[in-house]
Amino acid sequence: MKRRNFLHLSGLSALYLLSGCRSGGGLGQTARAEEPPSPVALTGTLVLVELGGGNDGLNTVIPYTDDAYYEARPELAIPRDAVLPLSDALGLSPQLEPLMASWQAGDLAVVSGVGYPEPNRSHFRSIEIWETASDAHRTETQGWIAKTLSDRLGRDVVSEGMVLGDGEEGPLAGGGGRSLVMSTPGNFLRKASRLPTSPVPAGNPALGHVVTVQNELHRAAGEIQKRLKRAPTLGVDFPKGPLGKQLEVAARLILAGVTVPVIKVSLPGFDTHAGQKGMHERLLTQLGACLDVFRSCLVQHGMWDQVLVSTYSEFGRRVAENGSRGTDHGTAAPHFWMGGRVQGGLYGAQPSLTDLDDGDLQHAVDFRSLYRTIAEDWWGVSGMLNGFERLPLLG
Amino acid sequence: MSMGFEDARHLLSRTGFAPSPVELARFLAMSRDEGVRVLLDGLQTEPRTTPPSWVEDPPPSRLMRRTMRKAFREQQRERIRELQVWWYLEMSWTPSPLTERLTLFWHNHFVTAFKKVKFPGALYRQNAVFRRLGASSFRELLHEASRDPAMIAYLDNQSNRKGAANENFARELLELFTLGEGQGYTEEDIQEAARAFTGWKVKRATGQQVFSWRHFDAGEKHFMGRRGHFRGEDILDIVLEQERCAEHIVERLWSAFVVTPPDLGTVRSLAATLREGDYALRPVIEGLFSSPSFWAEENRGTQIKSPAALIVGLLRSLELQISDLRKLPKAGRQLGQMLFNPPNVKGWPGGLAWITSSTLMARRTLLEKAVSRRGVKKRLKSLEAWLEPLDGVLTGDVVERARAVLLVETPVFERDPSMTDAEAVASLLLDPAYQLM
Repeated sequence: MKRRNFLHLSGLSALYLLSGCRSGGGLGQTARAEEPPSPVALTGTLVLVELGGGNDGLNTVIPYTDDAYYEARPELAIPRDAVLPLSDALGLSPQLEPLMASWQAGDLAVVSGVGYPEPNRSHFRSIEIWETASDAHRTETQGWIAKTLSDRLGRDVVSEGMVLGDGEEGPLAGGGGRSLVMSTPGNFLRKASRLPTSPVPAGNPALGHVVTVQNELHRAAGEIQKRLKRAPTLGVDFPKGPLGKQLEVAARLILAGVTVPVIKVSLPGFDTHAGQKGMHERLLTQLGACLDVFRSCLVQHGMWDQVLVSTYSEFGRRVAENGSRGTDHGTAAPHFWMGGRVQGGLYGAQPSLTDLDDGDLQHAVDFRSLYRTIAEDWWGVSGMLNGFERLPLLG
Repeated sequence: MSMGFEDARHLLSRTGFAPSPVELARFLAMSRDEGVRVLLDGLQTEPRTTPPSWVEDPPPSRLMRRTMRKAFREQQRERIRELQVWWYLEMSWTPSPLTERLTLFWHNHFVTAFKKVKFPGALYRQNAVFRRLGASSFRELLHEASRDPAMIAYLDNQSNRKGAANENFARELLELFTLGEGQGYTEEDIQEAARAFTGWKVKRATGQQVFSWRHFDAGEKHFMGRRGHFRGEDILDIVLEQERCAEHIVERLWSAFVVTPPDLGTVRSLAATLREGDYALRPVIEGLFSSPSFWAEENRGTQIKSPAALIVGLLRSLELQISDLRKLPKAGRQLGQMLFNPPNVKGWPGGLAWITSSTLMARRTLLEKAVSRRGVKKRLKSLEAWLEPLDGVLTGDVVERARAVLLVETPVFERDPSMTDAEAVASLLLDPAYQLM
């Protein structure tokens, strides 16, 4: 049973909490009074960047010396001399040129071949797998971050996590109810800080829950607004567009010292089945420019060490281009980590373009290794995802 | 002995959507038993409103889907919106809210979702099955729901074939739809059941379920201690023989309408009723609504309204004439419930999970917008006329009487004496207590 912020919680009410939830054989479960895990001390913010739709990894981090790449993609392959080399074998798409600053400073890590066994090529199912860290054939409902952090956040933490833009809770789903989904943060904060509060009524757990959440919202919003008022000016201009807007808000929150373990932003549009070239170029241009400005802003204010940026996507795309000048749903793909503590460089392994799994790349790194690395090396939470090896990404 | 106002309010709120003064006046004169009987006698098997014109259309051909990919997707998205609007309309207009509550219940039990099924016609068809059989026979419902094309697509039975079994449906059948996780079946049982369901496919051209002998694994299966050359139907019948099946269904139905978990005796007794009546659901529903736990204090005003219940309840209780329901699908989604699209095969968890920081803000935004709309403003200015059916039943000034109708729990916040009557009643809708049923 999760601990919640109830002032009055009799044994009977604890049973009420369970009865609303779906449980097979849930008859007569009594709440176990567990010792709550010790709170995690937050030393920074994880910024998750969701690339919505399935980013074409092969045209993002390009195996520019591999003939098979050019053979598989006569139209879509990025010309060799346009690629920005990271090594003898891999290079970045030219649209990601702004990321070279981070690369040269040594705080950009590229993890190649990220995926999972028995990959699912359905958008909703695969993103669910990424968000809940489940095996391909299991359905979990709780987000991996909610599972890792929900019971461990101290009172000083203003919220379990924030979702900006039009995204959904995703990795934060099924937490303690204190994550904030704000598509228009200004509006949200204004309204939430004006909510009336009340002592939590006893005797009706459902009512108690509503009041508690309302009180919490008021508190969180007030806290955020207070800090935002005292925050330094950004000093940079973010690129126009949805991602720029979200990262600008994220930067403001971080500079304002708002303690929140994770901020999730999303850039949709990567499902490039047809006419990929223009769309993908525009998206990568946005991604590169926005991440670079975000980095500059935080570096300028001396906060880059306290931020970890990590991209993710439901899957990569197929090796061969399709008949509509696009690519279809695939599997493994590269992802980026950026941050002051990131040990820059190449990690994982570029999957072979010829030794394929039903036309798709075989993964080299399970995405849960990345999650474990975050859980242990960023948040100091051990015991999660023990079956997966951490990567030496953080210093 | 007539049940009186508070019992009527509890019965109607908990088994339907928020009641109007007219509905309350009708039921408070009945005894509890009579009221329950009237509700059950009033159950519908067909919708009362006309569904969108395309629901019976066959699915588009594969060629059309491929060549007109973008247009096809747009059409499907527009149609699912139309389908959601239609269901909100049905819920708002039906003379039997209980019918729609049960349809919602089965929708959340035999889960399928638009994000995977993608063909709104199939989702409508399944919705019609839930309405038709939702209070009749679980045996029939289980059989129909299992071979329903939307279900076959959702749980991948389409790819379940001899020599290459796909266990998805068999697993969820046992784990979620009938017995409950880990209750008396093994992994082997799942695998054997999957073999029995091979051959259940959907014919692409018609969208209808067909049986394919070519893909059917006709060999002998060992399932839950029985041996035979089972087909899918046989597996369902064997499962229905298990005591645990009736118990699981009772528990699920119970938790939709009663907040406190049932004791073992009550579960066993209702499960026996279900089994002995060959899975007729009505006696169980009747038993549930007649049980002391249903009427107990702990079960009054202690359930969080689902998004659908909140939205539809607002429309019904205030008797609002809504001309444009097209905004409702988006509202429902922002509150965390997109009709025809539960998040995963376990459905919406419900209960306290409906209220998070985000969804509470979304609920408040919805209610704030609602009270500023012309139709609601008009109602708030003519409260006496709205309350007229309850003349002589309720005491207090008009705001007090409106509160008695709209809230099943005492409001958390005190009334602001400087407000007009209309403002005071509007603020009741924003009170945390309004989130309860």
